[in-house]
Amino acid sequence: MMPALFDEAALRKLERLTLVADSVRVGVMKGERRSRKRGTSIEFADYRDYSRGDDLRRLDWNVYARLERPFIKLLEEEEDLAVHLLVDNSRSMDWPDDPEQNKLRYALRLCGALGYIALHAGDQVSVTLLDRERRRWGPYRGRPNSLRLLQFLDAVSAAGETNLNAVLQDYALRGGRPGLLLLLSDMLSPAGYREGLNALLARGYEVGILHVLSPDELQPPLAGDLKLVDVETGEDAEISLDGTTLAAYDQRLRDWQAELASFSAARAMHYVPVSTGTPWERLVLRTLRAEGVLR
Amino acid sequence: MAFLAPLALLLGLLAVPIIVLYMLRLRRREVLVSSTLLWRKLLRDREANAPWQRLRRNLLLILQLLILAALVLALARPYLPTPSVVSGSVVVLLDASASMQATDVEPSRFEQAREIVDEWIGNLGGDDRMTLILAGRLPRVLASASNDREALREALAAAQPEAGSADWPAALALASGAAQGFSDARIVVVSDGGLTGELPPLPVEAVYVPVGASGENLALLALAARRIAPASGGEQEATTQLLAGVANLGAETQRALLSLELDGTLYDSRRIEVAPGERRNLTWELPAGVETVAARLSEQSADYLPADDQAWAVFEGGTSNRVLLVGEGNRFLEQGLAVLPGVELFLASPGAPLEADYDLYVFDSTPLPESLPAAPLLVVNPPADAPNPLLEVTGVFSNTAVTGVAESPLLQFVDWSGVSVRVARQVSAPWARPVISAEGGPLLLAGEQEGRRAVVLTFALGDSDLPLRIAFPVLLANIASWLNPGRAFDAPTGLSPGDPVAITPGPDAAAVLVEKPDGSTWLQPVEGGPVVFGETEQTGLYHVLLRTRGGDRDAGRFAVNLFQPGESRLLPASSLRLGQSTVEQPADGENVGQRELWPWLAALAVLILFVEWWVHFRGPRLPAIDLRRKT
Repeated sequence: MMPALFDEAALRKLERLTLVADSVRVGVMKGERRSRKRGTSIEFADYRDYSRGDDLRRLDWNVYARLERPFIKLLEEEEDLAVHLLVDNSRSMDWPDDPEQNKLRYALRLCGALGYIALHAGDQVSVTLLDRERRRWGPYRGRPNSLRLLQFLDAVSAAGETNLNAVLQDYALRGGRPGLLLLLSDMLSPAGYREGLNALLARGYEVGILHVLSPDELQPPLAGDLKLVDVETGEDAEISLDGTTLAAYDQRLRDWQAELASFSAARAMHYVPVSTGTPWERLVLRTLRAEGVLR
Repeated sequence: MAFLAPLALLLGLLAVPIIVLYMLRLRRREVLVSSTLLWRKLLRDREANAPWQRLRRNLLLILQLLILAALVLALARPYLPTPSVVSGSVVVLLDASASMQATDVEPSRFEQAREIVDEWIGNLGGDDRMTLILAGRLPRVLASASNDREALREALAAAQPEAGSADWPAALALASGAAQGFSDARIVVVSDGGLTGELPPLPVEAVYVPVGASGENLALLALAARRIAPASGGEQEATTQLLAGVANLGAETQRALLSLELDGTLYDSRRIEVAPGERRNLTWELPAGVETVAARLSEQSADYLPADDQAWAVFEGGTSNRVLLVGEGNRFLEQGLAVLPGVELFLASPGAPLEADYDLYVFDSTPLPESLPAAPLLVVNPPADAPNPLLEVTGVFSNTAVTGVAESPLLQFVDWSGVSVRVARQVSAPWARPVISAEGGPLLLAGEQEGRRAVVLTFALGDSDLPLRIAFPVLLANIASWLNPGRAFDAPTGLSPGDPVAITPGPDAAAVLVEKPDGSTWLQPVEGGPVVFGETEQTGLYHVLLRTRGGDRDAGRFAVNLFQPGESRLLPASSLRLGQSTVEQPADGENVGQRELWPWLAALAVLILFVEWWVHFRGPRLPAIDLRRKT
């Protein structure tokens, strides 16, 4: 039996996150955030020279009176952010058995932390599980919902297979208001992920991929003549492992990550390879900020 | 190819358990992983890069089956039939006689025989034994019942042909002895067929392998000189006649140049023509004083044996010992000297003029001439009244009881004890040493004066009973040989290569030195008694020197010649006759040897074992390198 997802220690870590939540925001423009679009709110943003055709209502008459030059007053458009947290809970994520390194638990904790931060920042948060049922929490807004979020996550278990392409394309269609979308997955989907991600981007989502892999996937502690059985699909592969094969696997894995990274970079997506051997709070506080996922 | 132990092939069934074990081994351990996605990609990659990767695990199985196959084949003992007369226990008789030096096959018959035997050695099977006997003048076993190819080859390489004929009876006896005790023994004679002597029948199967192709040869088979005494009463000197015998032993008429060298200087050349089978004798009258003669054949139309194209002869210099006895006539002395071997006795009256060319002068009771000849002297009972440079007679004495006998070669085997002398002369000769001393003075003196040896007997033979004693002829012989040592060796004209020569050095010689024809020398210290010189393998002139305190003394020469028609007759025989049986050469294909292949198969198995080990532990590196290149 797995220990509770957010035990006392995890909750304390969340509390610490809350302390820093003022400075930590989900998304590049996030929380009580400013839109990039200059809008009609009352918040002053900047001045620019008047050009013909500009709405005279937005001319700053005070400045004109003082300088006798027309300036248009730019105001910020203010909007709240829709934060979509997509957690891959296919059976391949329920690996390994060690609860401290289990990818799903790690992803859920990460999801909880990010959602916690987003709720505290006043953003609209929705969490979707990428299994066949595609259960969804939210969208909700407001700090009181954070506890409910944690309860929802605590009840999640691994189930079935995931076809990333299919679920992402589906989410693009019916996911609601586009915003920041963080995908927490091991990306181990035989059908691929490119079309799904492309569909999300086409809908205007700002996508970040948190690629969760466990240490024994990064460096398999295997040797000898083995029949490898896939926990998700039940398929097996016969392989004889020696130094050469392991080196080839390592190379293959790095190629794969590099491919994901270059795919993401070409589309202005964030790609963060995550090892479940890294403490999740450190990931939230350091790595994600360094990557620009958090600010 | 066939197998000596085909039943061992059944061991190939061991492949079944190997394959079964392999199938058991291939049941893999099942391991759960989160996803096989990456692994599948990896497998696809590797199979694409190296199609044989799929075979990789099977490769080990294939290698192991190969090892098994090699080992089973080795155990089945496959062999290749090789055309060889050599199988089982074989005794090889390698002819080393002079005719094997013939060059009618390249490079020579002996070298070709050596190659043939070498090939046999290479074809020796695992159970074969070879005994190698070199049939020369003294047949010897080079290698005995050996399977060691290296040792056999070494022994074969050390074998050399000789210049003389081979002792075939002894060689065949040796071969028969070597073949005893082997049930499958076989004697192989590698020869050109010039077998001589009374040949015994062989107890086991014999095979004759002939060597050689042609029989063309022009040979010098005789070179002899004799002195012809002058016609009685004639005044001319004795002349020397030389006879050279040239035989054509081939099948074609031969022309050649026969040149004659006297003491190393060309004397005459004659162009001769000899019909096949003909023997021509040529004679020369030679001037006096010639010591050595060499005859040489050259410019022959076809001649494959150089060894018999030269011949040498040495003159004995006429009678070896010419002795002049000067005296009134003493029957004892005349008889005693005349019976000495090699002595030609001449008599002269006292006062007659002395001729100079005698080897020994004997003065019996006669006054010595004022000028002494430059030759050894034996003086018996010198008279008192004549002055001479040799000695002085001071008186007579009759107390002749013997008081001392000195150690001297003159007294070898001489028993003086019963000799009585009535009266003897008192002689004063400071150069001489008394050999037998009596109370009144010496009875026998010997010494060297002005380079000549002299012996003085101080009593008249008629005044003693010495001539009636056994001691007398012995004493005379000792005196004669001491005064005139003569030739140090007895070398008859017909020396063949390998014949030993006994050299009897004089008493003063410390060592015997022999210069061989090729310039090398042979030195043997004298330890009393004759010295035997046996290294007469080369044909040519040998020069004997006696090493004395005063330097080397010339003791004459002797010649060694290959005057053996059997060796000069080169045409290879087609079969041999041994005892009552005829030994034929083997027919083609009749003798099949077996060359076993199992060592190669065993080596192959070990090699594959190494490959298998490498594949198992190291694995091929190439796919890994390919993967890295992709990044």
